[in-house]
Amino acid sequence: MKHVGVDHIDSQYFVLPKSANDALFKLSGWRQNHKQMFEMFEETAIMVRKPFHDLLNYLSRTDFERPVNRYVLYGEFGNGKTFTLNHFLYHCFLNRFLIVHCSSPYEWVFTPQETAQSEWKSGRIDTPVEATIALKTFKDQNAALLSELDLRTSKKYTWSLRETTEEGEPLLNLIDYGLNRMKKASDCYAVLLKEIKHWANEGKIKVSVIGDVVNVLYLGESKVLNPDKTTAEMDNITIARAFTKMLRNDWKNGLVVVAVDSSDSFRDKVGRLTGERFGPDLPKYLLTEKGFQDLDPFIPIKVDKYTENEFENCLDYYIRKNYVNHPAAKTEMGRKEIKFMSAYNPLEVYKFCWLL
Amino acid sequence: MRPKNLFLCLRFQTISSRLFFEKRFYGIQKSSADEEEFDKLNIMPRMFVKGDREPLAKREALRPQLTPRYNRMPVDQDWNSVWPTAKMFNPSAVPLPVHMGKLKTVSGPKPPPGKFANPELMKVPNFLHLAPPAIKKHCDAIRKFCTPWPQALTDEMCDKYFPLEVITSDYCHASPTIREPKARIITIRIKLSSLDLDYHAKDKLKRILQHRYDPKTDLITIVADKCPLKSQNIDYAKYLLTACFFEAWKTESWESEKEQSDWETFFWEKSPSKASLINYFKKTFQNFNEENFLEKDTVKDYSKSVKNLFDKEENDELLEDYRKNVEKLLFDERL
Repeated sequence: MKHVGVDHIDSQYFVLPKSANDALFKLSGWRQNHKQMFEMFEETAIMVRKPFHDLLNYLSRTDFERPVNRYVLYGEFGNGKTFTLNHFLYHCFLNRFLIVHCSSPYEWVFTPQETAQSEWKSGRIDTPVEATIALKTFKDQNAALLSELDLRTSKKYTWSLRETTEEGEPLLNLIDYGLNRMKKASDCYAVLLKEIKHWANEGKIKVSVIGDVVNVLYLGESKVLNPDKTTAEMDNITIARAFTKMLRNDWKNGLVVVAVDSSDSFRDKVGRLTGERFGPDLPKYLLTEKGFQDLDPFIPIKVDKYTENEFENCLDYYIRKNYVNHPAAKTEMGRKEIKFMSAYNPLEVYKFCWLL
Repeated sequence: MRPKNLFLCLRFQTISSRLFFEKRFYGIQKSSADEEEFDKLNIMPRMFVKGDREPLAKREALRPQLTPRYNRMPVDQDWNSVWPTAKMFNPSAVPLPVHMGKLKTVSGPKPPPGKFANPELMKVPNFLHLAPPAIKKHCDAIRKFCTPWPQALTDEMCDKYFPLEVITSDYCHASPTIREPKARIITIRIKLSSLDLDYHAKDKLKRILQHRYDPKTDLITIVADKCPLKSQNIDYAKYLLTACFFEAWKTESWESEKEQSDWETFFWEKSPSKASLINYFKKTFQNFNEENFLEKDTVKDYSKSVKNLFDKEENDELLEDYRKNVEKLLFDERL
């Protein structure tokens, strides 16, 4: 398969065009501290690193007639899993993949803004706000492709007595219906993913499913309460259930790239830097038995800490952007100290340079 | 002169039977020159005869001073003949600076008192008769009753023919009693491999024994301390081992409900990993033959790496191995 894309030079910064950034990561994708950083630097710069090249390499070797391949990014907190994912998402965008992106599944299952009982199936829990955001994200990310491909529904969906989506209606109508009727947004998202799977199987589109921190979807119990005040199971939250179905390899013409991460809030910086970890950052442990069952066979890709060269480039970039101003930080000894204090962890380098 | 009269009376009453008394007090002297001559009989007790002997103080001052016995002992003496059997501590016979006991004074604690007039040392049983040369002597004495160790019986053969090892302990220490409650505790050890078990029984025995089985050394260790006597505890431990052995051979009806979390090791053949892999290839290839497929090297490597991931502690090397094997299957595998 031939790729469209800019030439990526290893361990150099690649600047994401502003238009693309707005289209792809308007509602989700970057976390708050990422946005703050991009605002400060006045550009969205992503370092081209080894895991991204690995993904490109795999993508070029992929036979899309086979069931989808699953790639699992893992690595310590702050090593750049989200950046790699988003970089790859942009690459998929350029190569005309339909993108199903879930950047924060923990919001779906741990802290949904609203919950409601599903009207489609009793026992299921709807999360209207999160579902609407997911629908909007999907619409934003695939706006051009959707209008061009003219995808239509394969089945008739009856939402209520009066509201139905007929067979052969454009998918955009379905999305718009979900956006207008927040109550039905969760079911709409589930139906949308089902339709995407269907059209991918038909060979009409190529789909790239991208998910960050997906291991929270396999923890078993969510923090959402059922009407009888018991905690709901992960599988009973409509959109989480629909998204985990996309991670299975029962369809083709697509690829699944997910990242796993341990819960950040529990982890302390000292432990991370000294190597005494809170728990392993390794995929089998994080995915749990159920997740491993679902994803196996997958390709684990390690997102490692900075290499020597990458660290130098990163610091050069910070100096060029006047993020690092202290004269001592620009000397050889200063660089060595930053290396030592940050232990080559990209996030720690950023945090440490905040003071300089 | 009252004493004189008294002693005279005594003399007359017991003259024949108390020769020793007479010698001491009246100084009956035998003349060595002439045996026939009668001894001179001094009626007056010697202690009352003036000028007969030197006064006591002077005699003591003149007596030659001997160094104490424990200082006179030669270094290479035969200790066994000095202290042949168990007996109470005697300071003059022990050429050692022994200290024992506690001294509490007004000015604070003092070092333990020495061996002289030390009741603490006398109270406790001592083992001075059990010095290594003495034991060696004993052994030499009873050697003639023993037969030599069979040359053919090596350590390996001992392990094979006498697999059960019983470990008991005896205590000897300084206290008024020779009983020690800890002496009842016994340990039996046996290698799991020396028991006649099949795969299921072996696994079940390990689960029954829990921490009593050490997988590194393959040893079963059972400690018994329930009964008051050592021999009772040995019997009890052997009973426990026997009970566990026969329990392990039984297969209960609920054992068929064993799930993946109960597996003692990861069985790829039974795992969902195999099912999902076969599912993947069934979808990929129309003419998929499961039996031929499972014999391929790539599949075997893959199953091994999945097994490693589950059985060993997950690390980057294992994941790298897993990645390589998955890569081969997903990208290059052809039928």
